[in-house]
Amino acid sequence: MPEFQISRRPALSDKQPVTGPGIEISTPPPGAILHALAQPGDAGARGFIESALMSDIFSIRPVSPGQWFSVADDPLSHADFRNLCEALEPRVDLVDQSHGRTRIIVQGPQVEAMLAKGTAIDLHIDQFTVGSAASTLIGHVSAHLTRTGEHCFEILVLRSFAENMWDDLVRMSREFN
Amino acid sequence: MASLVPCPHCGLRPKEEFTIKGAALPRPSPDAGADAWLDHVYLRDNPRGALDEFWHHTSGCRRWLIVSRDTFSHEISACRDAADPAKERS
Repeated sequence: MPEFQISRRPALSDKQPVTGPGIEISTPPPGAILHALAQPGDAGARGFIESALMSDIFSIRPVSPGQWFSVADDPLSHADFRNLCEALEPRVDLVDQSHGRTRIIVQGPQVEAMLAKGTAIDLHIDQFTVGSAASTLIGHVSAHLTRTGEHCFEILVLRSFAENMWDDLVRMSREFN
Repeated sequence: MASLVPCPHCGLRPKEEFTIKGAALPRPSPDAGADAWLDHVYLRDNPRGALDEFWHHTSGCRRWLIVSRDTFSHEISACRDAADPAKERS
């Protein structure tokens, strides 16, 4: 008998959400994150992925040429994942990243000023419109940034960096709250 | 060192997001002989002026790029995807 039971839990399950007048930081309940990979230059791949993944469940964010993240708020069963793979292969490959990456939501009127401490991307709403996404550095950690609202961003970060990213964001937000 | 790199996929990004591999040189043919290959693998010029280099956008699109920059003025004259067949290196 093992003396220590390994349990599954989200990477940020013991973190308290940050609330304040300037910045709010939270983590959504674990959903589904799929990494879709096609041949770079396959112009119709995005439309093909959108038609297979129900657009009311998954939101699709560009990562790099031929690669997208598909994010859903509800978990995806393994059977449903297999069905999606069969619908997309061989043109597009799917990798389940639901447990590999962690979502962090940052929002509030000062959110651009806070994120500007960590990333070099121009986050002005005219340049980085709602729905825009980019892979970039936040501090020293690679992350994927999506604007989901006028003052709302979602950060996708590798699970092993999630706690570090959370603590960095909390520190970055202090002057605004 | 150039500090802002115009990635063809991501736009203007800071050099901290990139990893530099080194000079992008024409590859000798497989049967070019040991001397040509030794030079290709180990010998590098250190030009004062224009230089093509392989840069990897490690913290962005993760594509290999060829950055044409001036080692003296730090100006970047071109930046393209290394796999871009339309602009194959001569």
